[in-house]
Amino acid sequence: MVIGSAALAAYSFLVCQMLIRFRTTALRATALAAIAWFAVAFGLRYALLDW
Amino acid sequence: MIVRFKWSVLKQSSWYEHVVRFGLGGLTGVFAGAVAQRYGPTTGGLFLAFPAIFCASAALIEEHERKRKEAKGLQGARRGQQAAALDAAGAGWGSIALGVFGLCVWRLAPTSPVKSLCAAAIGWLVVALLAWELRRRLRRVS
Repeated sequence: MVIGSAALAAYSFLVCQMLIRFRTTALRATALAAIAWFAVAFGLRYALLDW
Repeated sequence: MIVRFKWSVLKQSSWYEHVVRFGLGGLTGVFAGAVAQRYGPTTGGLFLAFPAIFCASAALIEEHERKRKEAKGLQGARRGQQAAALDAAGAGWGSIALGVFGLCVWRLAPTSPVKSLCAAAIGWLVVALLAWELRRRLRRVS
C-alpha cells in the first residue's frame, strides 16, 4: 500500500499535468496515467522488495 | 478557504454516478483481496492504492463543470479540465496521507491489528490536514 501510494502520487501528478498542459479530457488523461501507475507500482515493488 | 461539507453537491449527481463510484471502489477492494490470495499480500496491497474511483470522479467533475458553464452560454471545456486537474492535485497530496496509513498498519499490525487501524486512520487525517495546510502556504508564497 505504501508503494501503491507512491504510484498514486505519480499518477495524480501526471493526470494534473496532462489536463493543464496538454488539455486532454479527464477520461483520456486518467486512462493513460493508469499505465504509469502500473509501471511505477510494479517497478518499485520489484526494485525495493525483490532484491 | 474553509473546509466544509457541501451537501447540495449530492443533489447535482444522479444515482448512477454514486453507484459507479461505490461499485468501482468495492470492486477494487475485492480485486485487491483476490490478487493478495493469488500473488501474496505485497502485490495485493498495491491495488489498495489503485485510482479506480478517481477515473470516474474526474470524468464526472469535468462533465459537471462543463455543463454548468454551458448552461450560462459559455465554453465549459477548459473549466471542466481545470476542475478535474484540481481534483488530481488533491489526490496527489492525499497520496502522502495514504502512504502514512499504509506505513502505520505495516509497522503496528503485528502487535495489534485494531490499534494499528485506529492509529493509521488518525495518522491519515493528521497528514492529510498538514498536507492541505502546506499546499495552502506554498500557493500563498508563489
